[in-house]
Amino acid sequence: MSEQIQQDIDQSINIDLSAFIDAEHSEHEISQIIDSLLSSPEYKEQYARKKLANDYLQEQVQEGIPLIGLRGNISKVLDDLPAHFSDEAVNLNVLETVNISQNSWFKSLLKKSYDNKIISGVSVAASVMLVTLVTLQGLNNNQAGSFDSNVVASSDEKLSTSPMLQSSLSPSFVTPVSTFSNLSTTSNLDINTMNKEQYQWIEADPVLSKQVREYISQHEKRQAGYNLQPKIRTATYQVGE
Amino acid sequence: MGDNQSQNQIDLEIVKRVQRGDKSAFDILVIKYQHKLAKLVLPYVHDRDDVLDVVQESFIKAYKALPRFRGDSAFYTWLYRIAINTSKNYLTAQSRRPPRSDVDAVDAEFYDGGSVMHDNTTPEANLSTQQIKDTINRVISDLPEELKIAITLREFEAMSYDEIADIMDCPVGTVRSRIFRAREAIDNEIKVLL
Repeated sequence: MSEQIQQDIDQSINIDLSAFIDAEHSEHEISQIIDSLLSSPEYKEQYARKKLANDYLQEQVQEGIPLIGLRGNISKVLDDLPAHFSDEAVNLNVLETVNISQNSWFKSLLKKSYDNKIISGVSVAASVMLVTLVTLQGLNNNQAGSFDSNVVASSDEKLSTSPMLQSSLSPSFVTPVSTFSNLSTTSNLDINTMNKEQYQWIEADPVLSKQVREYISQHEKRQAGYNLQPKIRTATYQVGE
Repeated sequence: MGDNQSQNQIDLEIVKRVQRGDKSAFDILVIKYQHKLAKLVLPYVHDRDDVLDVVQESFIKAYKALPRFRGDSAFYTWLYRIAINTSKNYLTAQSRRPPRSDVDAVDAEFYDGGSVMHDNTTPEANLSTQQIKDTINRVISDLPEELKIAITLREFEAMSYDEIADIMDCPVGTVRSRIFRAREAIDNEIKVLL
């Protein structure tokens, strides 16, 4: 009995697909059919064959042009392309965090690449932060003209209560980290500092990484152009245990 | 083919999904337009082996440009324009002269490129094409009368389901079902060839 019901459902879906080929579907069927095409490879292949027959009958198919393999080739190229659509769609304030500890592939990569897990986790994030901080150094030297050896620690204190840490518990991302207006050097941002919990972040998503770098770059240009107090925004991922 | 507005409605729905980041949805557009695009570029790309490359490049360009597609024109018109430009670029790259007959993007859908195509097909490709064509024709001629009439009016006469229902004096739902069953019969035969 249940097999009969399933067959009826399948037939109904296939009748809808046939109407879809002819654009004789009802309005509410469009999303349903597209969902089915995207969720079932068999259904999509069936659509491809029926569309081929449809194209043959309407004399759209040219003799001697082997299009077999075209879709595979295109898919391969698309896979290699950056996900520029999500780049455009992404709101910098609502990016999700990725817990690196759940990504075994990435973990194994880290183990292979670095002896020290903590240092490896810090290195990528630190590279972004260091570039930013070095830039800030120049700006702040011009403005402040002196260096307070406690500034890194005080900055850390700010960070420890900053939204960045809070956001490690919730999936919102790119949040303001802190105001580094009193930070005039990076010389004290040594490995001990970076080992602190709040620096144990890493960028694992190349697309997001690129986006963050561009964002920081634009931010710095504006900041320099308007002689504003520097602020850092960064996208980070927590290195889990 | 159904009316252009309905086809465009489908295309826009798929385009929105691609724009939201679902790359796999683009494959539905490739399935839908690959043969039409090949037919369109054929007069420009005389070497049939290169048709596949030009069609592929056209789709890739369309994918890359899709974030900027806002639906001001029909998707197929936009896609065809890309394909024609890609073909012309191909000709430039090949240092060939454009074909004597030119095609406007708006008219591209109705253009029959077969009349000016060159015959340099490979025997293997011909065999496959001919096999599929023969199979489809054989299946249609063997269909029960009601299915044969429904699919013939649809595919050869391009009639709407409503028009077919009037001619066959039956409900539209029956027409849907008959055309589906005819397509199932064809599909059962050609899937073993592909």
